[in-house]
Amino acid sequence: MHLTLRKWIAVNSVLLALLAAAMVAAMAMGSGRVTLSDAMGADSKARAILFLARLPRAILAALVGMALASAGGAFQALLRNPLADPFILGVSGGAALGSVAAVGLHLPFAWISAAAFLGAAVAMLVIFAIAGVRRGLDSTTLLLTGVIFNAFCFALILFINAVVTMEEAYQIIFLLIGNLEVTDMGTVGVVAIFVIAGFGTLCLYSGRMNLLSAGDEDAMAMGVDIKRLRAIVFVAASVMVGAAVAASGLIGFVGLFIPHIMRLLTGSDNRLLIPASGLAGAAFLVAADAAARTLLMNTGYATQLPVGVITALVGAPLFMVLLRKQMRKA
Amino acid sequence: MHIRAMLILFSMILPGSALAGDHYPQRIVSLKPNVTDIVYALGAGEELVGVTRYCDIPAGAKKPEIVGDYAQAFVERIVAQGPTIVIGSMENSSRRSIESLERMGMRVEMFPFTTLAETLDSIRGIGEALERPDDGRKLAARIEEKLGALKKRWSAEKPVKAVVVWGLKPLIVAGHGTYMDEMMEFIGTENAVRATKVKYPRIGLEELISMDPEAIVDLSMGSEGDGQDARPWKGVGQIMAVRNGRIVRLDASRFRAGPLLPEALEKLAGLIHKR
Repeated sequence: MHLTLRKWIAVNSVLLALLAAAMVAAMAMGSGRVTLSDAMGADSKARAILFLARLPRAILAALVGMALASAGGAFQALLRNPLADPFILGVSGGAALGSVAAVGLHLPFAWISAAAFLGAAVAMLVIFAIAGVRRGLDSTTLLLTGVIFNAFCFALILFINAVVTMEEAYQIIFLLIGNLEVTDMGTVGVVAIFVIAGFGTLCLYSGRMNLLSAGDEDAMAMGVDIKRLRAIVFVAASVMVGAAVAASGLIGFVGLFIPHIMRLLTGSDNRLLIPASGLAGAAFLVAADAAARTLLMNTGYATQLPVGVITALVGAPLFMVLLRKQMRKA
Repeated sequence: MHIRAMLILFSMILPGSALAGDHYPQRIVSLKPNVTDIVYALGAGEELVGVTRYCDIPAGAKKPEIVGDYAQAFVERIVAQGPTIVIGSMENSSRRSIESLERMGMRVEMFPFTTLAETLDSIRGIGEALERPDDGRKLAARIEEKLGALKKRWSAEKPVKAVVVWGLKPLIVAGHGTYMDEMMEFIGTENAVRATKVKYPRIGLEELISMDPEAIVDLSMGSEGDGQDARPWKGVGQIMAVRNGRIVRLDASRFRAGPLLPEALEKLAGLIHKR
């Protein structure tokens, strides 16, 4: 399938429209009926629900979804491995360890996100140092280093969990389950800066990322500095994932299956795949979080679901259907 | 015959303490902080040989061995203490370690503490198990009396609509039928959370705004203070509790189901009804 500018614009416009629709739907959905005219009028409670509760959460969901899905697509290209997801290269383990260590050290609640981001940054540097320097960011080494680093971090998390008080242990478990509740507006702003920078960088280098799938020798023959390209993709995606995990914990599946679905729908040219995955991931996570917030809230259970429940329950069957369709075609 | 009858009569009149010779000292292992509180309140603290990492030992008392954390019992350490009785709670206990203790022929007594009625019954039960039935009954009666006094004191006031928060991200609140929900009645508060099938529902900021509680009781982080740290509701003046600064942060462990509960509730009531 040849990628034309027209197709690029058409696909991304459709996805952007989908994202806008998901945002509007998320603003309209909640435990109570709140209309825009209520919010614009004298009803300050309605205004707070729309603009302090629903909107920041939808924005955070969009940013996190964009980060995870575009990073997932980038890692799949970088590692030439279809099982790669944004959490595979150890950054998530570092972020999780950072936030859990903050709980263990009794730091204030507001510092937990900062500690998580610090953990992600340290993880990135460590993995880069171990896998990068001598091996020239060889994909197998990178993958193995990441997986082992994650395992090491989660062992330390269990260690911390075993020595803290019961209330803290309880809190740690919820930190690890992804959640898009916005506890502080500043965090959303910081996440936005990192995600926009990371996503922009990945889009900018998406053309060159196509050469990674051709194999190192071919790419080098075409005059691409593979080492430098890998480093850029790795850092851009990792910083973005670190910010996302710091703000929302581990939200599974989005980063794995959105790039795959986009590949099935639009082809495997990274120039389209990366931006399309980012936009689709944003739209999907906004919708999934709105569903997670509201699905049980107006029933007798009156509780919210973890958003990861929705992403996997919707994502897995959808992915299967598309995969079967693709296999029949082939 | 006459002398024997006199002796029997005499022994019946004698208060329990004078019969200390009959009271065979136990070697007690407590598997929960609230059980440890109860054992001390029953005056049996000197007989404790094992407690959990989270138990509070009164100043000056000899320190028992640590034989458990919150859910787990360290079987080997318990065996090493040679206990005559192991006391735990039915909630949040690892079935596996309890079963292995029972298999070894140890006397393991598990008590429920999910409601006030259960807690009072369990205190009496622990008293009996420790051969201090009078002390158990007296302690239960004392707690009941203090709670009754609290209820009387605060029922005169207009009830305050409050939310008890257990977790911040997600926001986890105490729903109906929970222990703290029951306790709220004693201090002139009513639960702002509506009745749900989930005992500890997870809500969002939106639901907190809709509930519009007059007070927020934040038990989430273990630290006490007046709430300067970031919280999901920070700056949301549409919530009455935020607007009026009626946010109380207390350590959740104060509210253990045991002898210290009335004091903790009294403190909470004082903070909620202040202003």
